[in-house]
Amino acid sequence: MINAYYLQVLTIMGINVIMALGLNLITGVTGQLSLGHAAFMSIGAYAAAILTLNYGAPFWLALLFGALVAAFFGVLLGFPTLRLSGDYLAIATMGFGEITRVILLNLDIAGRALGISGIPHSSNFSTVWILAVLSIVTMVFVGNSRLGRAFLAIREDEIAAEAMGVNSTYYKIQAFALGSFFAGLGGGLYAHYITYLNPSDFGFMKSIEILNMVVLGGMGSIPGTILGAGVLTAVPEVLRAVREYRMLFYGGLLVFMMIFKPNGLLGGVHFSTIRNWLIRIFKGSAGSPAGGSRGGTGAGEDAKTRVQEG
Amino acid sequence: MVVLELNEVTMRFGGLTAVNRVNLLLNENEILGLIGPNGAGKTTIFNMITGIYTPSAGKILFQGKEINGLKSYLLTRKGIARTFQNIRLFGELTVLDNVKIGGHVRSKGNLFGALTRLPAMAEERRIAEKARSFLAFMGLAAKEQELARNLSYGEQRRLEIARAMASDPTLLLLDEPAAGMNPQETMALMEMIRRIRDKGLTILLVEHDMKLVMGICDRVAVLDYGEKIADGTPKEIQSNQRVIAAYLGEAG
Repeated sequence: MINAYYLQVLTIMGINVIMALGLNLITGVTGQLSLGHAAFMSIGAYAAAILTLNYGAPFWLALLFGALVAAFFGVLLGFPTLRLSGDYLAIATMGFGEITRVILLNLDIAGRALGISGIPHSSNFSTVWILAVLSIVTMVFVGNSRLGRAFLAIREDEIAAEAMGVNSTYYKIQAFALGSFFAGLGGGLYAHYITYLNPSDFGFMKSIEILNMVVLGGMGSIPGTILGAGVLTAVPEVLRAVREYRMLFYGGLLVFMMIFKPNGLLGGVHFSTIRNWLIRIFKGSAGSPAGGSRGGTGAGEDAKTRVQEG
Repeated sequence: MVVLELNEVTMRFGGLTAVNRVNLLLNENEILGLIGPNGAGKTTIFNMITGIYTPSAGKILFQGKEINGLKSYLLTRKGIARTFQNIRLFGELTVLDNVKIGGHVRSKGNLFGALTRLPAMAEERRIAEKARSFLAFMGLAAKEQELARNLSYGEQRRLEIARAMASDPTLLLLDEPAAGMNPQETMALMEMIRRIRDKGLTILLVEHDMKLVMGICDRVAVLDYGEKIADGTPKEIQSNQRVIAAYLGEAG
């Protein structure tokens, strides 16, 4: 059997995948830079934990409730702030993150600075990864739909998107709600896995950590986000060997990546791209996908294969 | 039938009157060219019709209903589509996806549809089919999987038209569609615009290329310093003294 330590890292990895996919939808797909993702995670975590602990609600119900509350706050934040764009939106979401943390620090029902402890240990490796897979499937479906195209259009050019009949405010709020839902879901899973919540776990740095996963993996790419979440969950663990130099290496890795692969590990790579790679590997060059006009490799491939998914 | 009517439309920016009491009529299935020297107010009129500016005074009527100040996504829903002078494609998306987004207002499909897939599948197929037909119409069928930013300049302009047409408009506004095109491309473009009109669309175009304007427009309106100084068939416009003066300056 796999040992308990690895199991824990893999479980946290699954939670991070779910949350990073949420942020990827907001920032990578819809192009709205959010620096407050941890706030939605904390809202989901606290809401779910309070429900199971104080009201004896079943775990699954609490999880769904936490995610919905987070989505609700996503909408609430969306209305005033989504008229802002770029840097202004980023600062506003950052402010929201701080406000959420300070409120949790002073809220009696959230245990103030002591936080909440003794949350039932209801989530485990399988619950987390079942939900992670469901989240991935959801993201692929959304990316492939009219909804997903509207999100992408807003990222690419908001004025042109509006001219094509896309109500950008409406869709940006939807993206925020959906992204926050997944942050809240991850938060609920986290609460019932770690069994202890404290406002300091959901500070600005946590938001940045999740953003790093999306950026390192490749903004807008679902496989990239999964890989980014995986790598950035694993790297700090691997770096435990170098002790106090850990954050130095972690930071160094990010700098190195941004210099040599600014689009992220799998920027522009989608599941359909990977499928086509596999087809080519197994069938040789004869099996190259239909529909392309060129037979080249490398950069040109993106153009050909970036058809459908995510 | 009158598709678009501008009634004494005025646009002021602070103390500057960019467009002054302009009247304009666009009949169904007509190609109207809007010309004039730089700064005459052509683009301002364009932006008022497409909802970017709200007129300071006067009324804009589309199919008999006032559309002053409506947001651009609502205008698209009503049947007004446009292209941009400085191309605004969704560069990182494929050519096909660009056109599919053009069909946004003529399709349904929300989060529920995206997740259940089944009802959405047929709809998706219909959207893709329609998008491909517009690409074929604009001669871009072979490029559907390319990223929009990788197309040549002329192809990008044609893609913008294909994308606009995918919203099934009644009125198509083309903002300098031939800008940056070589003479052969312009000739091909003229042919395409004619064919779009033959599909039953009404077209308003702003253009500097006189060969194109005089070649395909049924009527031409001329603006100078924010006022309409002439309106008539290309032939009438070419011999109009005020137009000649506006373009070449008065004879001393």
